[in-house]
Formats: sequence, C-alpha cells, structure tokens
Amino acid sequence: MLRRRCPTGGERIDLCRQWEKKMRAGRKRKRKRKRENIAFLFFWSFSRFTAYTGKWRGKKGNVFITPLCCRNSSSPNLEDPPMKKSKDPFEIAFEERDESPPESPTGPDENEAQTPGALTQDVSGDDDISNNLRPTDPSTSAASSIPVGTAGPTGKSKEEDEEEEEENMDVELGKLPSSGDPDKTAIMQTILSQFTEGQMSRYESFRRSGFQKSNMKRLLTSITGSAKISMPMTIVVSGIAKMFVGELVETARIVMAERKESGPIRPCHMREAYRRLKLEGKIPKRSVPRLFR
Amino acid sequence: MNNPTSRWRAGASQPSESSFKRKRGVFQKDLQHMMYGFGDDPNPLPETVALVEDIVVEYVTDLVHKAQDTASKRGKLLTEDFLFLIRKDVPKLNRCTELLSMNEELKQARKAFEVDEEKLASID
Repeated sequence: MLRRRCPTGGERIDLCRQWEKKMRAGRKRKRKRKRENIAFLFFWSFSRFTAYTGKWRGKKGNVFITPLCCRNSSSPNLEDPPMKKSKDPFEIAFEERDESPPESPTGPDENEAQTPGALTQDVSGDDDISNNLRPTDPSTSAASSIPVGTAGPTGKSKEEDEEEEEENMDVELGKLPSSGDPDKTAIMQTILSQFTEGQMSRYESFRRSGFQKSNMKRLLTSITGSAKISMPMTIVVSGIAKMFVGELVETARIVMAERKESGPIRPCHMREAYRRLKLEGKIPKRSVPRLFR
Repeated sequence: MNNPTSRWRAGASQPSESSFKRKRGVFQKDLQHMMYGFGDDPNPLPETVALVEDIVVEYVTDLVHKAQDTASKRGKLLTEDFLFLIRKDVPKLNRCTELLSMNEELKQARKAFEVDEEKLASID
C-alpha cells in the first residue's frame, strides 16, 4: 500500500513495488538513525551523569576535585609538548573511537549482556552506568568510548552526530547535566588536560569504579531481611561505601607516609587507618558489641 | 556437625533467605579498581583487598542496623534514614544528594525518551 505517490504514476506495477521497497528501507534506515541518535544522546547523558565536577567534596573551603594521590604526585611537567593542553585525553578517546577501546581497569561488567534494548535498563548509578558502556554494540560503541563527558567532547559529539532533524531531545539532554558552574568545569578541563598517563588512568579508575548494584542489593537484602530494597537506596549505600573506601585508602596512605614506607598498601596500614577512622568517629558504633564473628 | 549445614545448604535456593554464609570476594574485582583509583597500587595486595571488603561489609551492616533502628518507629526503611545517619559527614551527604538528584534527572530523561519512541512508532 503506497502512502506516497509513486513517481511512475502507478502504471508500472513492478516498478512501483521496487520503489516502495526502497522507500520502506530508507524510512527504516532513517528510523534506525533517529533511534541511534536518541540512544547515543541518552547514553551521552548517562556519561554526563558521571561528569560531576567535584561539588560533592563540600562547598566551603577546598574543593578536593582530585583524590590525594593525584595531587601529591609530581606536578605537570612543563617541558611536555604543548599538544596535551589543547586536547583532553577524553576528547582524543572520543575521536579515536574506531580503534579498539583502551585497556581500562573496568573489567567486571564486560560480561553483562548489553543489548540495544539496554535503554530500558534500570538506572544503576553513575559509575555502574559508565561501566556498562563497554559493549561492542555498534549502536552504543560511540557513547561507550566517552568515559567522562566534559564540555569539549560533548560539543563535538553533538555536531558530529546531529542530523537535519533538530529533536527536542537534544536540547533537553544538553541542558540537563550542566548543573555545575562553568568556572569549575573550566578548572577541571585545565587540570585534566595536564594529567600524565598514570594520573589519567588513576582518575579514570576513580571515576568509573563502583560497587555492583546487584551485589550491593543482595547484601542489603541479606542484612535487612526484607525483600524490597529500592534502587535509590542501593545507589545511596553504594555511594557511601565508595566514599568510605576512599577515606580508608587515603588514611592508609597517610599512615604509610608517616612510617616512611612505600609500595602497595599492606593490611597493617589498613588496620591502623581503620583504627584512626574509628577514633574520628566516622565508623558507626554498635550499641551492642558483636559476638561470635 | 556437617550434616545440618549441608541439609540447610541444599534447601536454601535463594540468596535472599536469611543465610549467614557469605561468599568471600563478592566485591573483590570492584574493590581493586576502586583502591587503585583512590591511591593504592595498580595491583593491590589480595590480603588488603580481602580486609577492605570485610571492613566495608561490616560498615554497611552497622549502617543498615542503625538505619533500621531509626526507621523502626516509622515502620519502613527509607532512603532518608541513611541520609540522616550521614548528616554529620558533609562530603558524603553532598555526594548522596547529588547522586539522588542525578537519578531523578535520568528518570526524566528516560521518560522523555520513551515518549519520543512512541512518537516515532506512531509516525509510521
């Protein structure tokens, strides 16, 4: 059934059918492109979700945007060729997305099934989402190579993927994640552009790592005994636990510096760090002491 | 001594039942990346990872128990109970509120996405 006028006027039926087939295929492709566009923008917004600019470290005083380790290590080498200043490593990663993805430490979520229907999956928190964006799906590979979206690559991506249609979706998604002030984003960009390889990989680990939602949910269910654990609760507890691990590791590093030791963190440092956190009161105390551990 | 546990293990089909056995290394892989991100070696020692996992599980357990104490008056365990517990810890509180607001934003984006999908389907 032709919805549009056949250019041959309908007299040559076989031509009409061929033309109809082509139109259908073209419309299909157009639909697919539209869907991919939306999917890409959707996943881009997921990646922007991870691109918080460090507000969470507290609004007053210092804003610890990068973890202690990156600040303590050697300051950016000024003799480095200036090419790094203009290009964000994440921009480079985006532009080179045809190559195989860089070996990034996020391994565990590769076996999670990623289908094009992944758009309807649950919101799984920031880092988990970026962990999930690892698949080899062509529809999402574009988005997956953008580990963290900053203002630069997102602008480029919009231009490169934008087609004639201006969707309302574009504007909404573009405006959504820019919750941080532009100053902070600009500062972040300058810092990120001057990172060394090691710092960048560590920062990437820092941003992308997180507890698996399923494991955390299972743990919470086993603790509470109730079957219903809402997704926001899992997200909150995962976030709290991640920050707790951060405090532990940073305190352990401080302990090591005091003892003038180097290398990987040993359990003795970790126990000392735990003891110090307990003294500070950051560990919830049990009203009833735990027996028979 | 072994018989009751083996019988019980055979019966427990779902992990959601109140089972006290806990597999070691549930969070091992995630923790390795996390510790590297926060300043440890690229390959943290396995005993350190196991210790951190134990500490974290104990921390979460105590946190949840405390939250349940707070929530017992109301009856249901809500997200606000956790936020109340960490109210003194400013970075954690800010981070959690940001996570929750991001979650809401993404929900809105997903809703809008589904509306668009319907529009596309109706066009054809």
